[in-house]
Amino acid sequence: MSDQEKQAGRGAGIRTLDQIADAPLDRRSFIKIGTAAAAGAAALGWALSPLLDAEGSITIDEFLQRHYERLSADEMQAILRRTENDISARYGVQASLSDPKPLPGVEYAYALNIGRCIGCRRCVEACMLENNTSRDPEIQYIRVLEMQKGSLDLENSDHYYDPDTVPRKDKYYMPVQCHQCSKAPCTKVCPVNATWQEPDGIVVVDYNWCIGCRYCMAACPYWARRFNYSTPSIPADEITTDMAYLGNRIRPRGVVEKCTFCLHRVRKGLNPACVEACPTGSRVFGNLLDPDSPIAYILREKRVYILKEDTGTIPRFYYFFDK
Amino acid sequence: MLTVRAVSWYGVYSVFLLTVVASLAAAGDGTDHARTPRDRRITFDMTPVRGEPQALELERAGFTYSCKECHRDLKAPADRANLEAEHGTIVFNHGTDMSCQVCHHPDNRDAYVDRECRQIPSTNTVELCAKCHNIEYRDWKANIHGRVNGYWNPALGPQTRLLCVQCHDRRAPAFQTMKPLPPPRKTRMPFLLKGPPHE
Repeated sequence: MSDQEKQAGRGAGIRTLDQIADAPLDRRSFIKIGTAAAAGAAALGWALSPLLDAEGSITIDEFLQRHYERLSADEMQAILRRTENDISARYGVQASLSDPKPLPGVEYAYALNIGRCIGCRRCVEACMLENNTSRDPEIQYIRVLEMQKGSLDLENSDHYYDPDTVPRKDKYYMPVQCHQCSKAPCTKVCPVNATWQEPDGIVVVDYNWCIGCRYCMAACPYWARRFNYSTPSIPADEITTDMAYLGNRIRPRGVVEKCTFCLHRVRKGLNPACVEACPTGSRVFGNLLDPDSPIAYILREKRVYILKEDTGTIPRFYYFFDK
Repeated sequence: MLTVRAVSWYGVYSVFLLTVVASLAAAGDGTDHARTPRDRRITFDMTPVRGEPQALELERAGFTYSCKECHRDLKAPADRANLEAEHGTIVFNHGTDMSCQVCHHPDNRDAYVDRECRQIPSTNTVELCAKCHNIEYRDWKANIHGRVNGYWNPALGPQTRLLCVQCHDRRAPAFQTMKPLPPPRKTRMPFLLKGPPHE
């Protein structure tokens, strides 16, 4: 660039970098530069604001957390308190989170009287209230199938039925939920061992360890597992504050969850929520190892049907008939 | 040349711009800290289908619910030919070939009757039902007919068992129909559907 061109450029208002750097800072250029810098900083802050939001990111503590089976009691306590604080910050409720252990000499089993269920979906509602499942998008562990009487055709069953009253003529109803299989295919396919079977037979998921690959959902023959496609949204006054680490605590986004027989209740001796709410008394829960339990009575006295027995999963969930 | 006056203006502008940046940064953090923790929860519904036994409700409303008040002098017929006239509100739809005295004692109308024509007190409806419904009675005693609330293990805590009449009307015992709760939503990823709908 010749001197002449430089002169011409200066005349047109174009300045070299040196000239800009050497120019004295007057009030006008200070305001100009300062306003631009402020706008830039605000735009950067807005662009990065999702990172400040805790739900999208993972903290260092969470990242360094070890597998459930390797956690010491102190580490577990720290995780429980941390998760409580997280839930409190996000949902505005003070939860009491615990990690109840399996009871010795207990193996849970479930029986459902397929002849008595009327398909009212009270169990579904109780399950959602008790297990803090997301309302939007909606996650339900129990799916009630409306079936044609005299057939066991799952392919042509309907779980979106919505008549004025149930039961409908010529229909019967078969609720399906996690069968807590003895040979659970879902636990075998997990690449990170985030889901396993507890000594009392309950198949659990460590939501902090799950990577969300959903292999377990593909492996399950009962469609019992659900995936949190987005962060669960639950009204604060519907949240059950009695939470278990492997059970009904509010799940993060991107992990799989499932029925745990209301682990936080049954390990204290209480019935699962679906049993408590069923108006027909179709649902029976108990200890398979106790010969005096109602479950043992049903297996002894009643006709029992196992769903998809040919898959070899050996469920702990039995359908039975009265007559 | 910077004068004292100009320096003071720079100071004022600097403070102003810093305030703007700080307020914008604070606005970017969208979490709502104003929510207060609550312990209230909505529990699932555990009321029996038919509520408490019918006699208790009538007694609470001020009635004695004593059949003797009429039947002290009035001998009831053994068949049920006059049921519509005398007991107009009663809907009878219980089995076939039934009469009043299958359940009600012929002499003491405040009591039920067992197979040997002995009296069953009116509070003991379970024993009356068990007279015919053997299998249901056996299952009920084994905790598999009718809902059992509370603890699955009686050693750990109390169990509450419902009575026959809390689910079944004595004179029309078929389990009543009810409105189902809404079906599941068909979309499991509703956030993907926000925006203009497909044509």
